Amino acid sequence: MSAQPTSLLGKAFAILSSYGLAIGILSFLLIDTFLGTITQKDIGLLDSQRIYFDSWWLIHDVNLGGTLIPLPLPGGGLLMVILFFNMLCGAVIRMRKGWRTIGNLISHLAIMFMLAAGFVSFLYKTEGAMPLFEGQASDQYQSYHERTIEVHRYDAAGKGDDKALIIPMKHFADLDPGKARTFFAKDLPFEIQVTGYQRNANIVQAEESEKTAIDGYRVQPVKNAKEDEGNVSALEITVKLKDTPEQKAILWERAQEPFTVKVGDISYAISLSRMKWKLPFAIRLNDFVRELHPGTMKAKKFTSHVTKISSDGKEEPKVVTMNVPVRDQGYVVYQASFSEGSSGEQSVFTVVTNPSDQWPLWSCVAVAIGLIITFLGHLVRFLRRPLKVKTT
Amino acid sequence: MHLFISWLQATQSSLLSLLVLSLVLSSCDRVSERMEITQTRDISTYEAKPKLHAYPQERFGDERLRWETPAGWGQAERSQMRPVNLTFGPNKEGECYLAMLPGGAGGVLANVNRWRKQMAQPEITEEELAKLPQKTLMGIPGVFVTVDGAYTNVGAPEAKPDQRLQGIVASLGEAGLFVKMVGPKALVEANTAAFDEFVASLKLRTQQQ
Repeated sequence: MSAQPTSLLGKAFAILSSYGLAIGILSFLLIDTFLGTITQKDIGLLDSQRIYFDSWWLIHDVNLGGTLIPLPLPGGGLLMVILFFNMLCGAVIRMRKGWRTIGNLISHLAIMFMLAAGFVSFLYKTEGAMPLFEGQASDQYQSYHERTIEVHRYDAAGKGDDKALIIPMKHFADLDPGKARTFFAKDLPFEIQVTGYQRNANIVQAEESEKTAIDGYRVQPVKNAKEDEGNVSALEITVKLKDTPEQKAILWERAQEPFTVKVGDISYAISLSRMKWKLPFAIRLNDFVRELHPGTMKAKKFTSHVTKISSDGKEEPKVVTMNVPVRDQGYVVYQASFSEGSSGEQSVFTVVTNPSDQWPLWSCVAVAIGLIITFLGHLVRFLRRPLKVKTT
Repeated sequence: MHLFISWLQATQSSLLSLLVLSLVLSSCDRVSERMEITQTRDISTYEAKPKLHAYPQERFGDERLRWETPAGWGQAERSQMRPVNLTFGPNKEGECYLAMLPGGAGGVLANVNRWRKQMAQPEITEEELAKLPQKTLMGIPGVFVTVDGAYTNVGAPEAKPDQRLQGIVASLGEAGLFVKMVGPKALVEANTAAFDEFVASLKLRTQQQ
């Protein structure tokens, strides 16, 4: 029997590497997964993921006969971080090393690799949509959820800069009506005060008597859509220029044109939009083919015949169809859906970049190898075991 | 054994450091009341250039009116009273705008006489009004008015001499619909064809358009 640790570090290590902690973590992960899955039907996938799986801690309201009891729980993010260190301490550092345990070690390291893949994905993965009409080309995709305020500068001739300044959503999503934050940049001749962020809103004509109206309009909050993709956000800005009166404007995600501020000969287009990322290549949609199950409107197969245009102008024909994406330079272009309107058929691609894209696959293979080694070891030892003759 | 314990302690310290680091990293990027914009994004060459200086109605897709601005004319600041506001002339001396008043502002005769008063001309009667030529404005028949004189704009301190006002006053139920063009007489005369072109192009957008 090993001696109990006496130092603080030793005790911490003993707890961190214990089976008890592992069981506790896995139990809470099970609870979070169950509650997150149940709650998803009410609050949608994005919020459910954010509250239950991307969090350090959370409070789940338990409904007991109509009374809501707040139940504090560790969040999925915290549990996975602890699980990683628990496995590192218990299954890698503390575990007896030898040929008999090599399979176990491989499996545990592979699971830790999978957790690391999740962490890298959480930090660096980008995912968005690229809708294209036939004949249209694009080299950018836009986020499903992340909003930004963009400031794009145009010279007197109307030529825009190669880059636009962006304010990410995390810097203004907390600005409910009554809260404000001012943004500035060294190359910007004005400051932008942002307030009144609404996650889902319409813009409606204001009555003449409404003092809070801006340009004859006001923001009308709307109940959030269950899935965040359906929300159309809005906010108010005040542009503060030196020696000139302030300019107020409403920015709305669905606005057809940006709000423009003119300073001398230079124009600044300010808009609220989904975050956009640029690809190192472009995709042109040549033809979109939709196959339906006979006699139904149910999709059997969507296929997009596209041309991939490299940055050097080289063109390459490709076919993107369900479960057959186009991969290039770390980006994956999937066939997601389609829409049909007065302008024709529009193929919608999902573009994903994730440095840990293939890590879960490698991890699963490694887990399988580790388990096969472990089970084969047990089998060999079992077969080598001397047979005991039963005597009656 | 001593080596193993040292290694274990070093590992524990590293683990604690990692744990602390991950907690610190997760709490970075705090927001404050004043923040510098530091992030940028590359603009795609495939991205459509937006319309700069768009009216709020255009920005919010609330543009119910469609019209063609005649060649050589410019756009002036719009307002709720003037949803279409155009200028013309070398120094933008002439103005032409559309106004829509839900209450009708007293009817056709009252409005014609209001315009005549602005041009320092006497009022006309119902009989004289009936003799005025007619023009169609957005599918509604209206009275075509031409008045010469000294024009005093609303709020202007003094009248401008040798001006011409021409416009259409139409009514749809209780609502009044007006197109008014005013400016130096010669300039307005020279732009009468453009005025007709503008009036003919004015349409209310239907949902399908």
